[in-house]
Amino acid sequence: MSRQITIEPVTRIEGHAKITLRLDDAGKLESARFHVNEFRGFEKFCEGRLFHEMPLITERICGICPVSHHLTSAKAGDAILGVQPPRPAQLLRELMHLGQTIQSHAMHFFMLAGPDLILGPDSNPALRNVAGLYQADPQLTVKAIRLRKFGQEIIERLGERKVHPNFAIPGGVNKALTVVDRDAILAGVPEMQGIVRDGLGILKGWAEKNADEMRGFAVFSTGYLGMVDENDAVQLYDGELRLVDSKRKQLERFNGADYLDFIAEHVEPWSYLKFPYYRRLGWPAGTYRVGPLGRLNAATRLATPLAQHEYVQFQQAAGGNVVEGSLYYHYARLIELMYALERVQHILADPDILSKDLRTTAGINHREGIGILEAPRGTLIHHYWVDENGLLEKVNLIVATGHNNYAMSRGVEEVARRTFPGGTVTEGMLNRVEMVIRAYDPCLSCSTHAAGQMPLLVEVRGPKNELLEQHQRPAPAVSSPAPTANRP
Amino acid sequence: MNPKVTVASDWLAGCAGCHMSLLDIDERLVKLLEVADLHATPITDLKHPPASGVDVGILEGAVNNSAGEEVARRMRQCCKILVALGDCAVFGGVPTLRNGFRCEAALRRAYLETESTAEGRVPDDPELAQMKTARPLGDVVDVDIHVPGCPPSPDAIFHVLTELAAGRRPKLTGKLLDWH
Amino acid sequence: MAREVTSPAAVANITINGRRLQAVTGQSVLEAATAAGIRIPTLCHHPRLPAHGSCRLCLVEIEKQRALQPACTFPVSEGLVIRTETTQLTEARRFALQMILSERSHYCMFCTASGSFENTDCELQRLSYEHGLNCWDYTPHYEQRWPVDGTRQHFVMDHGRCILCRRCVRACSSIAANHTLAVHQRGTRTMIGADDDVPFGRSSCISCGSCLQVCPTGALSERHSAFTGHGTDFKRHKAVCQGCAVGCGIEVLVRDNQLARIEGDWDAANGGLLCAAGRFEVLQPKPPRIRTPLLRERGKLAPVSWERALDCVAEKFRRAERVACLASPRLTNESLTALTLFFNETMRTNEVALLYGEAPPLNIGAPASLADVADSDCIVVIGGNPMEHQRVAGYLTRRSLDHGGKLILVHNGSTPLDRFADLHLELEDISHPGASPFERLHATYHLRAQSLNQLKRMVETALKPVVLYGSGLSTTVYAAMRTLPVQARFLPLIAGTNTRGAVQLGLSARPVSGEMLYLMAADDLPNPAPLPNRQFTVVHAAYQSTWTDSADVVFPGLMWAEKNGHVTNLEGKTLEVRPLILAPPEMRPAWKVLLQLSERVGRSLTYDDICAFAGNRQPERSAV
Repeated sequence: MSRQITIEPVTRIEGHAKITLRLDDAGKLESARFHVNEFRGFEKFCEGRLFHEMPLITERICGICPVSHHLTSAKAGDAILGVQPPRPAQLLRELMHLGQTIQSHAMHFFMLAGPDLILGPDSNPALRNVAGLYQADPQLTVKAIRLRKFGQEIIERLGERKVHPNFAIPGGVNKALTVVDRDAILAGVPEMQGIVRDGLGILKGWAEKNADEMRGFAVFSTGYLGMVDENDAVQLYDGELRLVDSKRKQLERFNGADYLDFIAEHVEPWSYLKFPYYRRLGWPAGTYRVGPLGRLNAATRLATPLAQHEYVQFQQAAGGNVVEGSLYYHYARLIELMYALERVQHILADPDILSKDLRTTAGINHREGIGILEAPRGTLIHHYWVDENGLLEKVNLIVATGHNNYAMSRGVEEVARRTFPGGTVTEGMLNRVEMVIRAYDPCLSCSTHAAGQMPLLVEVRGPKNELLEQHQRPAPAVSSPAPTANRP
Repeated sequence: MNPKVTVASDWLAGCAGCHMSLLDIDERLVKLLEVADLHATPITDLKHPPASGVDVGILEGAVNNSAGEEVARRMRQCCKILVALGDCAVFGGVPTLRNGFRCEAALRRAYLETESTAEGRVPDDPELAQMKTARPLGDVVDVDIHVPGCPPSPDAIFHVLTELAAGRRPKLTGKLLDWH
Repeated sequence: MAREVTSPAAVANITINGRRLQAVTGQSVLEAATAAGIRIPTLCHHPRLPAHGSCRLCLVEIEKQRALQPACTFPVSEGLVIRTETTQLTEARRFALQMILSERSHYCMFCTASGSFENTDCELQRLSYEHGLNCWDYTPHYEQRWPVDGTRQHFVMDHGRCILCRRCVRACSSIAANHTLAVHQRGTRTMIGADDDVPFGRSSCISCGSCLQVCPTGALSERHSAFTGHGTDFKRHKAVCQGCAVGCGIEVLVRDNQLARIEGDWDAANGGLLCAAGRFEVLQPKPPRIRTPLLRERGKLAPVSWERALDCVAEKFRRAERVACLASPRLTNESLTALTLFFNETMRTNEVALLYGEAPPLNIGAPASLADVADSDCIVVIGGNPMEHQRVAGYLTRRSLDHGGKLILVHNGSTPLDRFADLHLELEDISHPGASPFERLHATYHLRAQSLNQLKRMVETALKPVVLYGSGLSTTVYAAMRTLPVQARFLPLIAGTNTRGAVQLGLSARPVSGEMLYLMAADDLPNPAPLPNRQFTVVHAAYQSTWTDSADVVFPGLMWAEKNGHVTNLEGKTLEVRPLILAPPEMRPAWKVLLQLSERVGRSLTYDDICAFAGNRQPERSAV
């Protein structure tokens, strides 16, 4: 008989999310769904606001990657003005973006995904979190904090605060970089590179010990989308978008402003997060992945030497083809961290970085503007339509994590299929499901993968929706004397 | 040695920025862990606070759906002191911009009308939470401490938590009081 | 600014917070307290606007008064005992703030004025911080969507941030005298609106920005400076607007060498009032900047070194038979001095003229100041259109009308002041019918004797008449003005920022001839009419234009905010111009270029020569 299994972690992409697994009559997994339960309505309630407010409004979409929205929004504003910001302003925007990439990737790898890799996915759930990490390895935890802080401080030096900064405006940026700030950032890079190397060591160590897992965990074929420069190297701030198929063949290379020709969004009734796909192949064949793995597969190289060196090794895992295993996201993330740090050095050495030529002014020259860049989690698109006074008439946003939505469901399904042959729900299965979601680092990463344990409620229901089995994992106390009792 | 104050946190219709600002206390996190037990929080665990309750509950985000109302009420029940963290929880914040539009209009725009959406439909699965008017936390449950800011600065958050750990009621003045 | 005291100043002995003070009868409690250095929080109050008393932040305790009283409107009187700081007052003020915050949707997180206690530009927010408000007692009715009016080009109105303090309404009437803004509807429907409730951009609004400058919250905000900073992020510099001959006092906000915002200087003659050109248009996008000398070779302009460009121009100067110079009236006195000296002495020619700009005879009678205009009880505008070409003078004219002044307009055609005129007299064009196109631009207008007499009679009955007069009037008219009663004062309606300074050097706008032309364009931009063709043209300019595109040599010039020197405004005042931002590298001030040219031509001038010629006017030793 067919059954539905509901997993309700308090997973929140702007709210709550949960997973349901549908079993067929033979007890085999039929499908998995990753529901996103939160909806705030930015695409509607920004109507009537002024486009020059949007960098400050849209950054409130996310508190982990506000800079992505802030900069993408300013780029859409540039397009409405019909100008390119002066080169120094573009460098400064990219610098802030790199700061964000560094802090976001650092936090995710060390504090969220890291405990699985450092303490082990089967270690005591009560300690599988940052507090436990600190107990086990205080030095490493402090390093992780410092790496995240380094990225946040770049943002703060430019935009006056770490979360929801004020820096990019349509046409440019609103302040210059001081010599003091430049030197302080540069001075910190070597230490941070050391921490990333530590991270790479941890990951590679785990990968070696768990080679099967790396190779076989949530592996499936999709396309890959990422931004590249003129040499097809990964670019995070500006460039064209490159889409490759699962054989690494280029399907498209396009200007972000033409995204509607290539990307469409599918809606399912059971999730508030839409499913972007490649138009020509339709839904769901046109699924593609974004984010670190997506970018590293869509590009052919990295523009900085140390990162490129790692990239070559990374590619060897797939013999030069695309790397498909979901756990390789962690590896890709560390490579991007390395790239971001090198790129920071490169930009800070540019004589234009201290320039005060920060802004191109213009009136409203177009009634439409599109901004695109690569947020830590993937390609981010802001599309605004304004009236002649600059008030927004329409807004379309495709948020990075969204592109991975279907892939996450697929990943969960793959994992469930492998670890769920007969129908009983085990602790291990629940862990593995968490690990899949965690690999994709959905926006509001903290939501779906509390480092440690995602409290899960799994219900197995019969065809009349009667409750057959229930498994729940208690929320652990960090260091309280006695474990807490079952709770609803 | 004093028993540590037990803390649980969660977020509603927010962006997680307030929790990120909490993490921005950086190395002071170690000091904080000396006086506070962080239970259900994004950096440890996300589920409901323990049934035995915690001393301090922290909620970020406005309440804009049925799930949020539940979480808010549950947190209020099981904590002695409830902290509204950030402009969304304190004032309503950015999520309340939706209130000027009908929910249906917002859903229609997102799932039917947006230019990239193909064969759209408004999600209506019963598993999904029900939309409600976005409100500050204080309109749903009684709040003891308000910490405004978008987000509140790490200094303000650290001050509030350490004061609560010391058994004092935190007061926000000067640089720590910032609505921005 | 103290309210006018109509009776001889009588002292009122009052007590504030136990301190005995002497106030002046007619003052408000707030004015008396401020004069004594006692601070009372205010919100709707503004020192340059009539008091209103609507916000209730300035409540004070006054003995023998049944209720708390607003200090801004309560008059002092002998024996008044006042307390400004008590627990009850603090609570009352907090309550007033809570009430204000509950009325509309105050989204601080994406407001350009919003900030921390130390550097917020929002007075509502600062008062809230001061009073320790960390939550709102009454949740706003967020369902109500407050409109954002973006119909004005330069600044926008977000009604959700408006606290109905009416500062904008008061500024529009008492500062700008335009009376566009008013309060519409009542109760919870009260809204600030323009005319009979039309979008601001389609109303009688003149975009002077007075309302913007006084708005205490982010309700009115400027597009150009939105989100570029607030409070102490900016350096504020007092300066002189170089948009026209009025020379209003401005405060320029600068950040990282960018001109962020222009505000009116409350302490200058214009009293904070500006026009759209001086406040906003000056910051609008400009054509690309000329950053290096350019030389035309094989038909194309290409960047060259200063030395090469100077050599080339000097060579041409040496060879040319006749050279001519046209200068922008935006140039400083020092530049114009250097220019005239160079062409008269080094080049031995008098073919030096202004590119444009006119000044009427300056010796008509006692000069009027801008303050005289505002204070006048009878204004005559003859042969000019100040509302277009000397705008703040025009606005001050309207202000005088608000105080009961009379207006006599003498012109032909129509002007914005027409509907306010008490007497309207027509000028007649008496230019020669066969006049050349150039002469047609400088037509001559005459006023018939009968009308002149009418004019005289009205002026005679006035106590403080002011005559604003333009160029191109007939001899009779100027003669008649000279015979007006002795109390009449005169303000020439001069066209061109520093035309008065140029005229004092003997320059005027007239055709010049010469096969080589040196065009000192400064940061002017060309009108559509191209220049007559010459064999060789040198253009000295800040911005690319059709002039520079067709020039043989181009020298990069400074723009107004980079200059050092003096200009003379229409009142005859010499105003100092100081650099507010650093010019791009490789810039040389105009006088230096002329000196270097003179060396190469072979008849050197020195810096001292220029000084001697200029008398006590020093050429700009600019920072660049």
